[in-house]
Amino acid sequence: MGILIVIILLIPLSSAQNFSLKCSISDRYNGSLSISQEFGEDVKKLYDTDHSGYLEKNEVISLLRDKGLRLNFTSVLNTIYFLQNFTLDGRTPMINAQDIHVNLTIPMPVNGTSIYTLSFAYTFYLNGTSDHILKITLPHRSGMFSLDLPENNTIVKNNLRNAKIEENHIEGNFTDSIVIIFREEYYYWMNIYAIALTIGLLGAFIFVAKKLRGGPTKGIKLLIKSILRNLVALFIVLTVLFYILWVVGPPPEVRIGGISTMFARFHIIKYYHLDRPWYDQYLNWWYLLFTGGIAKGVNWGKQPIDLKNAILVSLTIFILGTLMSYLISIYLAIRKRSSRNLDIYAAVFLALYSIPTFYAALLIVHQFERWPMLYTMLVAPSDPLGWGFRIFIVSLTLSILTIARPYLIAKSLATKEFTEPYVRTFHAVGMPFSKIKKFVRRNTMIPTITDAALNFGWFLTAQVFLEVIFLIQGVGYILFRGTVEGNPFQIQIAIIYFSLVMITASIFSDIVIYFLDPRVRR
Amino acid sequence: MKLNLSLKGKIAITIVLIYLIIAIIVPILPLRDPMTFKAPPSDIFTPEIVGNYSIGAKIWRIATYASNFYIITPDYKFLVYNMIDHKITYNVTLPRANYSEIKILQIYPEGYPVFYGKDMVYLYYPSLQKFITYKVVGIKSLYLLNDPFTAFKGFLALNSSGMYAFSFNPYAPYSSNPLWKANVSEIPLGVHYSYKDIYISFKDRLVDIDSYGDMRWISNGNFTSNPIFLPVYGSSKVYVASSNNILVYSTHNGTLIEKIEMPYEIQRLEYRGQSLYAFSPQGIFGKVDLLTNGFSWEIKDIKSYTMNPFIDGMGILLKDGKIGFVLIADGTIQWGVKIDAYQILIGEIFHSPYLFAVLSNRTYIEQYSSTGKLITPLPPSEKYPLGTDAAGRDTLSQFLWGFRWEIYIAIISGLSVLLLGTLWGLVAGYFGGTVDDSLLLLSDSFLFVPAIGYAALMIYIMGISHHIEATISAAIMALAPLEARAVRNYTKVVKEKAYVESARMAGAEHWRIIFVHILPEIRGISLVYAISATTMALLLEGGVSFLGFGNYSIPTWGWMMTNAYFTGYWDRWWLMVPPLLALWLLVYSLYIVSQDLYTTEYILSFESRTISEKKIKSK
Repeated sequence: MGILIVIILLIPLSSAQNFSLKCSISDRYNGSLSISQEFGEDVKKLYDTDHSGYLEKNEVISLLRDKGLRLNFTSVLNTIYFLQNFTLDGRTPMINAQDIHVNLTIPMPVNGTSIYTLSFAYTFYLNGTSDHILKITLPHRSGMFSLDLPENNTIVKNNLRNAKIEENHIEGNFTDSIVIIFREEYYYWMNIYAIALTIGLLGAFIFVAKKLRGGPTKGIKLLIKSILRNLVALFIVLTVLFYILWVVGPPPEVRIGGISTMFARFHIIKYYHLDRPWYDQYLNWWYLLFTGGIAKGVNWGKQPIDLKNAILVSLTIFILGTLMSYLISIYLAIRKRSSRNLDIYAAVFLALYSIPTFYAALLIVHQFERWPMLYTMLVAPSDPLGWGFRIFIVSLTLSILTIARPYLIAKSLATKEFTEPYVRTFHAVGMPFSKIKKFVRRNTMIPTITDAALNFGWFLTAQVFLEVIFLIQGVGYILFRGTVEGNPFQIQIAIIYFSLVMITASIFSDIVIYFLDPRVRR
Repeated sequence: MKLNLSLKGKIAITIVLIYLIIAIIVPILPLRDPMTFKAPPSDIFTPEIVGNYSIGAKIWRIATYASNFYIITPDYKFLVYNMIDHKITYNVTLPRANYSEIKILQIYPEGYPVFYGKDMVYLYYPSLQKFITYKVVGIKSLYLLNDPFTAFKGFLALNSSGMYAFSFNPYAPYSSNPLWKANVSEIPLGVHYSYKDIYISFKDRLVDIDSYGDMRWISNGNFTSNPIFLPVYGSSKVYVASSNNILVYSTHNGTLIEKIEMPYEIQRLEYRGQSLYAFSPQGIFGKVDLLTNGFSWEIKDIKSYTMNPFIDGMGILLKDGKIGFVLIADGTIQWGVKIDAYQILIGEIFHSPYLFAVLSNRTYIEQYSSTGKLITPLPPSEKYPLGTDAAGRDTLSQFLWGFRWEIYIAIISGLSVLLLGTLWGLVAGYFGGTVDDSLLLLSDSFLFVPAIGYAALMIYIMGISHHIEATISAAIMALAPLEARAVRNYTKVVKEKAYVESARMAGAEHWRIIFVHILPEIRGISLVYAISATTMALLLEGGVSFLGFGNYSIPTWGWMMTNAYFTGYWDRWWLMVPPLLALWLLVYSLYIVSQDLYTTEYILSFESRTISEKKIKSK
C-alpha cells in the first residue's frame, strides 16, 4: 500500500494546503519525517462520485492525486528510495521501503475530517562543516513545519513564517519551500579550538625542530635526539598523507565510490568519520592508526587481501634484500685493493640501475622460463620450499638491481681507505691482509650505512615493481591494487608501511652507526 | 654561467639538444597518427593455408562446390577430387573436344557441375556419380539459371540456330528435351533472369524474354556488359552497362529509367545480395554506388576475380601476382600475398568461405581461410620503418611522439624541482636558525615516502587519465626536498663568504643578497640536482605506465614498453628496443651532463669553499 501511495504522489497536481510536516534529526545519521494532511468534508464531497458517503479506493487515489503532497521519490534497487524534494547538505537521504508507513482509512467516510499520514525514517550523512542546510521543496504547497534537532544544535537561519524557535526545536508555516540552516555548536567551537591547536602544533613543530637538530651533541643523547627527530618526521609525513588523501580532492563518496556498494559506502563514511570536520577526521584517523582500525579498509574491494601476510612477506624481502645488497657491496668493495677506475662490477651494477627496474626484473623472470620447475616455484609456489625460493630470488633480484649506489659509495670509500697511512703501517709491520681488511671494513661501512636511509626510497620503489612482476601479494602489490581499483585504504596502508619502514631503517642505521663509530659514542 | 664541459659532456648535451629538436618538430613531421592509425588488413593479415591438395593430374578446367573439386584435365579426363579424403573419387575419360569452363548449377543443398563439349552439354550428378547429357549441336555458349528468383532451374544453351532452354530438377523426371527455343543468332554479352523473365544483352540491344521463350520487349542501345537483375522482392530494374554508364531499364516495358555514371568503362556486372558490383577492363573492380553514382569502393590492378552470389567475399588475383580476399561489404582486402597462381576459386565448405588457388604447375591447389592470420606486430619494412605494434599502429610515430612527452615531463619536473627546491634550500640556508631547522625537518619528512608512493597517491587523486601530471607532481614531492637539502648546504657555505658579508654591511636586503649574491654561486649545484630529479621523473613515468596507471591515449615510451609487454610481444625488438634505448640514452646523457656540471662547479669553487669552511670552523 505504501508503494502505491508513493507512486500516486509522483504525479504532479495543483496547489493545496493544510499540511503538517514533522521532521526530526536524531543524530548525524538518522532522522524521521512525518507528513500529515487533513481533508475536510467539502473537499471529500467533490470526489465522492457515486455519492455513497464513502470514498472508495479509486476515489481516494484521485483525491490524493489532486490534493496530496507532491513528493518526488526515486527508487533504487527496489528497496531504497530517494526523496528528491528533500536534501540535507545537498544530498538526498536514503529511505528504506520497509520504513515507509502510510496511515489511511479506506473506504474514507465523507463526513467529518479525515487525516492521512505518511511517515518514514531516513539515513544520511552531513558535510564536514558545523553549519548544515536542510531543504524541502514543495511547489504550490503550504502548511505547518516543525523540526527537532539533536541537543546542542541551534537554528541559524530559516524561511518559515511565524517561526517559533526553542533551542533545538523550530516550528512555523511554510509556502513552496523550507530552508533551514542549523549549526552543530560542538563542531562550531571545536573548529575554533582546532585552528588554535594547529597554530600551537606549528609552534611545537618549530620548537621540536630546533631542539632535535643535530650538531655538537654526542653520545647517547645524539641517538635519542635522532630517534625523536625521526618520530616527529613520521608524524609530519603521516599528516601530509592524511591531508593529501582525505582533505584535498573530490568529496568522500566519490573517493570511495569505486570499491563499495551504496550501503558499504555509508558504513565506510561513518567508520572513517569522512562526513566530519577535518580535525575530527584527523583525530579519528590517529585513533584508528593506533588501534589498528586503519587496516580495515584494505579488505573493502574486489578481492580481500591478507594484510598481515603481505607485511610479513614485504618486510622479509626488504630485510633480506637490504642485507644482501649491503653485505655484497661491502664485501666486493674491500675484497682487494684496486684502482679508482670503474671496475666490472660497478659497470654491471650501474647498467642494471639505469634501465627501468620493471624491464630488468622482467628479463630476470624470463630467464627462469627455461626451467619449468623453478619457474613454477617462482611465480606460483605451492609449498614452503617454493615460497622460500621465491622470496630468496626476489630479494636477490632486488639487491642486484639496487646495489649500484651502496657499492659505488663503499668502493670509493674503500679505495680511499686503502691509501690511508694506517693501512700502510699495518702492512709494513706485517699484519696479514685479512686483518687489515677488518679495519678498512669498519671505516667503509659507516658512511655507506649513513647513506642507506636515502637509498631505501629507491629500494622500496623497486620492490613495488618486483612484487607486481613476481606476483607476490606484498605491500607493494597492495599499493598497485589500490591504485588500480581506486581504493584509498590500500594506498594509505602501503604508504604508512613505507614510511614506517623508512623511519625504522633510519633509526636502525643511527643505532648501527652509534655502535660502529666511536666518534659518535664519545 | 660558464660551461666547461668535457667531450663526454658535450656529446651528452648534443644528444639532449637533438631530443629537444625532435620534440619540437614532431607535430610538423609527416607521421601517421600514433594512436588512431591502424595498418590496413592487407598489411596485417597473412593468408592462413588450411589445406594443400595435390591432384596428381594437370588441371585444365576446374570448379569447386562444397568439398569437391570438379576438374577436366588436358587429356580429357573428368575428375572429382574430394578435399576431405584427399583423393579422386570419380574419374572418367571424356571424348576429345574443346571443353568449356565448368559452371556449378546450385540446387540446394547440391551443386551440379555443368560444362559443354562439341555437341553436348554435360551435367554431372554427384550423388549418383553419373553424367546427364543434353545434345545441342555446335554449342557456342551456356548460361545457368540458378536459385533464387528463377522460374525454372537449368541452363540456356546457345548454338547457331538459337537459344535452347533446358530444365534440370533432381526431384523431377529427367528430360533431355529443351523446354523451348528462342531465336537468337549472335552470342550475347550475358544473360540474367528475374522470377518471370530472362534478360539477354547484346552489343546493340537488351532483350527480355519470358520463361516460356516469348519475347516481351527490346531496348536498343550500345551495351558493353551482361545485364543484372538484383534479386530483391519488388525490384523492377535491370542494370546493364553502356561503356561509362550503367543504364537502368524497367523490367515491365524496357524503358530507360536512370543512368549511373561510372568513372571507367564497365565490362561486367556482378551482384551479391542487394548490391551491384562492376568490373572494368582496366582491372578495376568496385561496388557501384546506386545513389550517388561511381564506386563506393574500388580495387585497382585486378587481373581476375572470383565471386559467388552465395558467398560474402570474393577472391582477387592482382596483376602483380598477389591474391587477396575481399570483404565485399566494405572492400577491405585481407592479406594480398604473392603467389604463382594459374586460377583462383572461391568456395564454401560447411558455410565457411575459402579461397583456392591453382598454382601455376596446375597440379597443386592451396586452400586459404578467408580471414587470414593476424601477423601483427609487423616487423620493420619500407612502409613501416619501425614496424607496428600488436594493434597495427605505427611504432615510429609512437616513438617520435614519445620524444615530445618525455621532454615535456623532463622540462616540467626539472623546472619545478629547480624552482621549489632552490627557493626552499636558499631560505633555509640563508636565514639559518629556526627557519633552517624547521625546513630541514620538513624536507626530511618528505623523504620518508618513496617516489612510487607519491605517484600512487597522486594518480589516485588526479585519475589515471592525468598520469603524466601525477608523475610530475610525485617527482616534485619526492625530489624537491632532496634538492632543497643540497642547496641549503651550499648556501650555508656561500653565505659565509666575504663578498656576501660586505653586501650585508653595505645594507643590502635579505632577498637581494639571496638572489643577487648567493643564487649565482649555487645555481650550478641546484641545476645538478634538478637534472638528476629529471632523470628520476623519466624513469618513474616508465614504471608508472608499466604498472598500468598510464593514460592509454598518450604515447610515451613507458606506455610503448608496457603495451609491448601486455600484448605479449615484448620479445620483438622493434617494440622494446627503441623506447628503451631512447629512454636510457636520455637518462644517461642527463646523468653525464649533471656529473660534468658537478665536477666543473665543484672544482671551480673548491678553493674558495675550503677557505670559507676553515673560517667557519675557526669561529
